[in-house]
Amino acid sequence: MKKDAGNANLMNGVPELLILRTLSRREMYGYELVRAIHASTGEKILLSEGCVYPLLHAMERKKWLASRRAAADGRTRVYYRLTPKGNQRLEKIVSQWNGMSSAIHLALGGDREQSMPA
Amino acid sequence: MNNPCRLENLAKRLRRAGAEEAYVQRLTEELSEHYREHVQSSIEEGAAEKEAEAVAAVALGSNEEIATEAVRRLRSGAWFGRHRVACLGLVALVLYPLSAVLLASIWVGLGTWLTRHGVSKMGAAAHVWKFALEASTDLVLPVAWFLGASWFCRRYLYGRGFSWALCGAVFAWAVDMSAWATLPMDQSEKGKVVVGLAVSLRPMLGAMRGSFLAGFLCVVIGSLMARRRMRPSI
Repeated sequence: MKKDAGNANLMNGVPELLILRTLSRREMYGYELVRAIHASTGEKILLSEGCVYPLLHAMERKKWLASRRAAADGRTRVYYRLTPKGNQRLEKIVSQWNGMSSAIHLALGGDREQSMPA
Repeated sequence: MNNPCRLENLAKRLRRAGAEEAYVQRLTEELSEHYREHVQSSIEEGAAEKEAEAVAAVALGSNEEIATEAVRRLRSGAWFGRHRVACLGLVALVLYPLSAVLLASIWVGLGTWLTRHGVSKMGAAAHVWKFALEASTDLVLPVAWFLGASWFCRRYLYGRGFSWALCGAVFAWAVDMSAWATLPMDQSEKGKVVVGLAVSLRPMLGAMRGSFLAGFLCVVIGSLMARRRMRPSI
């Protein structure tokens, strides 16, 4: 996800959430995953392609993901899939994200209501 | 990523930061595969080969960006990486006394062996004792510390800059401390053992005090060195 240092804190955890959510549908290899996230977010979010692998590996070390190597079209791909532990993590961060999202939505909506004439 | 130089540069950066070889291999293989997928996909969509390669290379990101992210993830995945201040103190408290005890046992053993073989009667044992004591405190002990701490940092903390900052500070401190770790020599049999133990214990006590100072210094220096390389990239 390309971003400025200024919104780094705001975007923390978003790549993790998107990866877990996308892999909860089916197993994918790295390139496919990046494209799927790009497509599923209406082409608004494109993960930094090279940096997605360190994140996938870190998530695998935490046992949220599992991987397997498979040969396809004369090349070896590493497919990632969600584990039960990863599924629990996904549920947790989806719940956190929804809570935060509604809070921000409320705050922004509140500002708009205040600025509206009676 | 079909440019072997670029791939090799990335691998070098990761190795320098302390990443294990198996991890470096896996990451570079996956990046290489990703690059090929991207190029092929662009060509299938109608792009020229050169154009497709350029687009794929840009999308993948720079070596520095990838290496920074990989090292950051490795660090955050290890307890030692997350609790750097605590483990710096831990390194000092564990490794320094350990090396002191190890070396003390070597030269106490040497002295005992010389005494058993009657060398002390010739006066040579006193010189050997003195040499061993001074060598262990002034040279061997800090070197053992230096190597041990360096290995520890490379293995668990990731980052050569940070490791060298730690080891440099500790080395300077250990050399300085060893200067006063000399006691008057007692030439009696019992006295030699007492002096030997005292000389080994004094650095241990000093290590407890010095470790916190060394740890603090290293955190500051290491953080300054690492800050320009550590940028959020995802």
